[in-house]
Amino acid sequence: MGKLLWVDLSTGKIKDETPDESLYRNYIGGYGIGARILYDHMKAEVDPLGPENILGIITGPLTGSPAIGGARYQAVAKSPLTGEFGDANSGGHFGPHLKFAGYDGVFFTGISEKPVYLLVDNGKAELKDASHLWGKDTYETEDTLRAEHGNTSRVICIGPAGEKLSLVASIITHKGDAAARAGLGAVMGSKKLKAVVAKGVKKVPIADAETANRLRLEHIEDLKEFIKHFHQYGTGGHGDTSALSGDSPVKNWGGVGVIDTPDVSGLNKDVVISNLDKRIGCWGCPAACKGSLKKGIEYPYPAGTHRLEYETIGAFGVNCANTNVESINMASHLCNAYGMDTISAGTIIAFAMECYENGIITKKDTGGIELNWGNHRALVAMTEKLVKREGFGDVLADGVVRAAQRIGKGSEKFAVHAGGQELGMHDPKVLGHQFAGMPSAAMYWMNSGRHTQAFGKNGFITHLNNAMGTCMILFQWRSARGPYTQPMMKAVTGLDRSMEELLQCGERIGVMRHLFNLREGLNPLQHFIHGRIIGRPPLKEGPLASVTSDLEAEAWWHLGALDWDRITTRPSRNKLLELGLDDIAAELWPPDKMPRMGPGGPGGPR
Amino acid sequence: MFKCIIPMYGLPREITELREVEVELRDGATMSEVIAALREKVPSLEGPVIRTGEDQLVEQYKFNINGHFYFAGMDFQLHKGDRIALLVPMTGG
Repeated sequence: MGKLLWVDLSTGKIKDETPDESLYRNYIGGYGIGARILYDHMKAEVDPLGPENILGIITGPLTGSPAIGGARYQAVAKSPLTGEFGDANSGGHFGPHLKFAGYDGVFFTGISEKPVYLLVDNGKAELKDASHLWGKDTYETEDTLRAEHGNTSRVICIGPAGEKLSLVASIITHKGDAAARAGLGAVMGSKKLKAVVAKGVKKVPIADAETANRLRLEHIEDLKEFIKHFHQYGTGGHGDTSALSGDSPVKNWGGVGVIDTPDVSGLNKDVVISNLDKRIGCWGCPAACKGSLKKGIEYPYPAGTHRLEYETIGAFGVNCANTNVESINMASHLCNAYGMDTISAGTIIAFAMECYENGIITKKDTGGIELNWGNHRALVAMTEKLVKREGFGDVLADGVVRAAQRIGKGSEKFAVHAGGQELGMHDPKVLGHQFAGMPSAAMYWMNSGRHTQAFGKNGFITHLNNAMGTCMILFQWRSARGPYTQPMMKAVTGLDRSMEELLQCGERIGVMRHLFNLREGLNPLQHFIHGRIIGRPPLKEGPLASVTSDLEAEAWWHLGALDWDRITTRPSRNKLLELGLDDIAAELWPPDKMPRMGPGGPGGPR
Repeated sequence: MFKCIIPMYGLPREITELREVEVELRDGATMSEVIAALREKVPSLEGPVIRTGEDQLVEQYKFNINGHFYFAGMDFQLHKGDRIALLVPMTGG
């Protein structure tokens, strides 16, 4: 429980805040604290790219602690892509180093007149001129800033995509770890904030270091076999099997792997790591699931390009009917260097390919690029235009919804999204149906999937894990239901809380994010979800033939279980009071409009 | 007859610039009667949300009544105390 930093980019004023302990107790950290602060400090319906939007960069209590996977930070703001509460989550080394620099989080308001970056150096914060960095890619930005401030510094930054306000722009650290979703790179760009640099040697306070270290060792021992495999292949070890099982979407969510891309040997796990130079990891991680590639063979990506994560393989792979791993390495490099979400970018290319195949766009539109399914050279060429916002890339650079609006000609039927955001690369018809209505609409829970939030009670554990600042793969899957979360939180924070109480924090976080959206006048029940995602109409062949998700029934059950209204999705007064959100209960359920007994009532608010 | 408040979301809200619309309905009102009442109260919904000249929703729109969803082609009977919203689709494509 430490300090937050507030930076007004319009005036240049910087101030410290030491929040009341209840903020940490109730909202844990990360986007939990972010959701509460955005709700309290922002008005409804502000322009996401305007000065009133607040961008938060926040760690969790286990970030920088002995908890394995405790390397994460989260970015929050109103999403310019969806208009809803937006968050993105990243590993690397920045999160722990922000704490070593003396802060749990930083909140930015306003817009700077000229490009700036924030330096947080051992308890002192300063805005510095970033004119020399504006226009540079994320690799060069990180190199330049670490040369200026020393190798002990760590950097998050945007690339040209964020500067050019691409609504699918990401925030990059460690030259390839991305807080990519929700277009928060564009929020940073709109504020003329190029980077944040953190350095310091302050210790993260651990209430009971002996126990925390013991739990860490026990946890590593528990995960020994898993870590061995994960170290070898990372998340990219199942690109081929997922392509055939129905897990990975194929041909813009409209195809079938076993029919459209039957030969996926090019995506085999050993092919994916064939050009690997060395394995690298997030701060303090015993798995080190990431990797650094040698210089490209078939494509000119530089040495040091991060090895592929599953999501990137899915998005630029069979979703584009592509099984050439070198081209995916190149596309991934372009997205990381220019600062763009690989999930959205790959989906956008798949959308453009389907438009091309159907004659909606032609070579004349694409500048001569023949965007046929599986044409990996065209995929790379168009990705380069996309990340640079050049030519037809400019039409595509704000996501599939806006691209379809610009292209017209019926292209919207190929714009596969949920609530305005391109989806993660796991078909929910395979893994579960818990889909509709998350604050970040396309971040859905899928049993053991990639993304971070669920709709319903299954989301509580994920919200808790994310807010703690731990890795969902290393810590959450293998711990949250097991013996580590509760004792590790106790050992680190000194607060002796039951798992039930911690899960209630997860619920509170989910409700808080939802309240942000309700205040915007949004109802998740009216989210558009493309029919291909849920099997309407169902596929006729392959492992998912005839499968249709019953979203309406799902909404009914989840809303009931959450005690949210099944029409407005407003949490009940009782639920808000149960979660200690008395102030918001009074706001949403004003006493003078509560149902009354006797003459005149009942007449509750609508 | 009873008064019924219908919350608006998405495009209907943008068109009407209203968060909710109040209509008067008879007990047991059907989907077409609700649509007709909506059109009378907010004529601008005709075209983008209500099919021109018909008491039917444009494809993909639906009603949520007491938490259950009713698409075009389905029917219901609305009674006093029922809760209703007009929603754009979760599905489509």
